[in-house]
Amino acid sequence: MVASTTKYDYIYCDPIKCVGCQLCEYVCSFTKTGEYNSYRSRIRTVRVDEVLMTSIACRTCENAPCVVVCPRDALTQDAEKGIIRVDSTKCDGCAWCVEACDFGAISINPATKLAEICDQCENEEGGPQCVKWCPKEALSLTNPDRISQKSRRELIKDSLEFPTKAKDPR
Amino acid sequence: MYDPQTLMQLSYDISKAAQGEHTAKYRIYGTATGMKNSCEMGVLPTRNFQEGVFEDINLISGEYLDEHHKVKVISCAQCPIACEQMSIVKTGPFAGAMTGVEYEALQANSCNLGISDIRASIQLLEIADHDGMDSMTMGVTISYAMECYERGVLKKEDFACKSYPEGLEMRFGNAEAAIALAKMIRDREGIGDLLSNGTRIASKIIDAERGTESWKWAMNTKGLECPGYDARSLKTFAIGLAVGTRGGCHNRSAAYDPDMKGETNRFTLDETRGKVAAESEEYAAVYDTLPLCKFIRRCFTGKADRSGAWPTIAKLINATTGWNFGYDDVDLIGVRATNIKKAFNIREGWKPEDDDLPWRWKHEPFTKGPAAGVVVTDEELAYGKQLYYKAKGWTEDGMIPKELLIKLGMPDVAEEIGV
Repeated sequence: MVASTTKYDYIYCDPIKCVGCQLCEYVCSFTKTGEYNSYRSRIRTVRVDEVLMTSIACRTCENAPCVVVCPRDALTQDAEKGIIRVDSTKCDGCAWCVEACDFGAISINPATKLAEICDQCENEEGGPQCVKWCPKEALSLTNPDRISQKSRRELIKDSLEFPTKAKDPR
Repeated sequence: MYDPQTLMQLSYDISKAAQGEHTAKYRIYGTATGMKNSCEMGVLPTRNFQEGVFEDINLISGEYLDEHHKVKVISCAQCPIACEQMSIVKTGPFAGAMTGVEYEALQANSCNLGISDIRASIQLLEIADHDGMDSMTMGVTISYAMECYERGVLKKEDFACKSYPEGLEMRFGNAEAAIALAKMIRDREGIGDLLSNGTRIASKIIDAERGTESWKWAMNTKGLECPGYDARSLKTFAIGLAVGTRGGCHNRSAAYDPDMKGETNRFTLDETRGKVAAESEEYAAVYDTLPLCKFIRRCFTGKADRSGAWPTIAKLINATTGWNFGYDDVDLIGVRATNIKKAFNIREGWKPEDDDLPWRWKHEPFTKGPAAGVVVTDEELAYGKQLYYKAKGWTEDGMIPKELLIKLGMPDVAEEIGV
């Protein structure tokens, strides 16, 4: 199996903060297509059960399996940002990239029948729109290094505040 | 979509405002935080609306729920508030039960059943939620059955069925029996089959068979079981529930709000109340029609009234449709919606006597609490209904005049109901 660790930034969702509202899906779909349609979103909300939920978009894997498997070399990875770009003149919608992605972060656009992958709104002013909109600040553009650093900081903060329980679900 | 950029900007601003003080109550504790307040005001349905205060309120409050059972808050689709307090039972015979707990659902299945173990209430709500029953109707139907048992109308053996061959001791506070009956109603097993019709139909059949008067404690209006604000001492709300086209529904008549906030004298009626009841209903109808959640009502400008909400709602409508709605047009949505709902009822056979309250609210006062001794008398009810009909521009019989329907742009409706 190809290693899926990443040094790049990607859209991360904190499942503790995520309330499963799916606003990210609607905002993504609107930004990319002008429609409000979950099936046109490049980020997808997953409800595993009533209280376990998160949103998933492209994780910008190093040596991304989707790029490796594409039989038409339609997918390329930006060396600096790790964003996967789809060349619509080469992609024929075979969905091998969809099968290769362990995270289910790639979908085939029902209208164009071509692969679509989160590009972190690289052409949008203000960066990823899902992050901007997320009402619970569950989404962020970050990477594993910063996630672990933040977790360590939160741990210390929680210890100092003990036993005051954080009441605000935000 | 006429103007997506404007619509997105408005939505973004509302979504961010929804993280502030105006929704804090819903986000942090959820609606169940109202339990203590209702008890303090003596309007918390207790043992099938026999009393308005519950002795173990501290064990079934929103605060207790938050401290002992809350797992996480979740949201409805595309909602930036997220008020649903997912709560789990960790100990005891119902361990593992989990569901979202709301004020209305909780009161109907705790104090209203005389149950002070909130774990049993969560179990009852899980049964209702997972198996598609309205938890409020279920709770009030079980409390009706409990009162029938305590008054000797129904006996232990009346609750016997394949699952419970010995029957059930359906006294108030018996959580196991309440849960068993919830399952019987769900499965239409034994007497659950009859009770699954709700209190109005069940009491009619039981009384016809046994020569009893259990209809007196069948707590419904127009067949819909009453919500968790006892209307004996909330007189504007009492009008709203009596005339409600859907029956006893707190989502259609929001008149408990002025009564409980002290904007009116809740113990008496005066000539302003018809207008208050009508306007609160029309206000709610605008939200229901769009639809928008009423919990967002303060997130437009901070004010929860028409002046605070209608200008922004008009902008939302205009950005979506390209129409040119103003304040009065938004107002008209509520007026038209409430009139057409009434017209539907008239077409389906509504009669003036259908605008009524449960017998208990008119004849049996509480013995305890701040609302002790108060009922809505027949005279008050008749007076309140007249005030409401007048505020709506209806006839003394509660019918809609033809001219009004024409004025509201609904001549076809006038023709269909034959006025």
